[in-house]
Amino acid sequence: MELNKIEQENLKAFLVSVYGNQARSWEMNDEVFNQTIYMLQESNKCTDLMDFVPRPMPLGANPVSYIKKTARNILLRKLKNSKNQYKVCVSTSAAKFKTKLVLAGLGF
Amino acid sequence: MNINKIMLVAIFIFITSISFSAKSLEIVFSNELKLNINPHKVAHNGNLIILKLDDFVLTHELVDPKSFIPTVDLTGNTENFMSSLFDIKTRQELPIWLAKLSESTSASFNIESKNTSTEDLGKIKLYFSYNDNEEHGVILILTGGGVHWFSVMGEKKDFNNIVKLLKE
Repeated sequence: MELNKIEQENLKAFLVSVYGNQARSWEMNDEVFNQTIYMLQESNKCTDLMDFVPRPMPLGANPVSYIKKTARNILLRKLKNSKNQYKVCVSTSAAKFKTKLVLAGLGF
Repeated sequence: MNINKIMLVAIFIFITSISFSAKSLEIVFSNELKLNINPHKVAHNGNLIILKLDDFVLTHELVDPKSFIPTVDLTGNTENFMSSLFDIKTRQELPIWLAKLSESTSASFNIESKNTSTEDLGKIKLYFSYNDNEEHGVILILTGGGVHWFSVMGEKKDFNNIVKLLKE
């Protein structure tokens, strides 16, 4: 697992704001982080956050190792601190990514 | 019959009974909507049930109007909104802001008219769509009382089989 404790807490705070209490039971592992990045990327609206992801991200790239540690740390802190803002920008892609996030979060 | 043979017969009967009971799992979503299926693993998280089968994953949720789209409360519009993800005519009847939301949500699920079908079976109405590139399909079922949302992550043959089973 590449995410440290604080990064995991920041990621969880954001996902709980999007999906509610069910996200509290998810393990904040690398795959959950990756799916969150894919969700942000697909929304095409959280552009300031995606500036932390070097473009173009190659197809099949693993975001957790592709994004530099410092950038990942800032990205996750911003996600937590402005969770209500980013919740709005993922509102249409969140429904689609819910299943993938649940599967990843439960290690299914 | 010696003791070893008796033991073997007993073990065979035990294993057979386990496999038969596993095959007869019936999942009841409502009076009108049931599914006979044989998952290896079942998980429940929030309002989502996840079934893992041989080569694919099936999920089911009863659409919660307050949380399906995290920032929008669909209460009072749930059936129309959900069916508008598949049906452009229904979408055109929605208020403009909701129609726009429907359009972007539908695009997010890769629902396109060329890969979408609708079937009215009287008691239930089905909308379903499968995307070959993502190997992912979604099924909406309206039962009059509930809005059921299924998602299949797997090959098209598995998706088609689930649609068939849900219609039975």
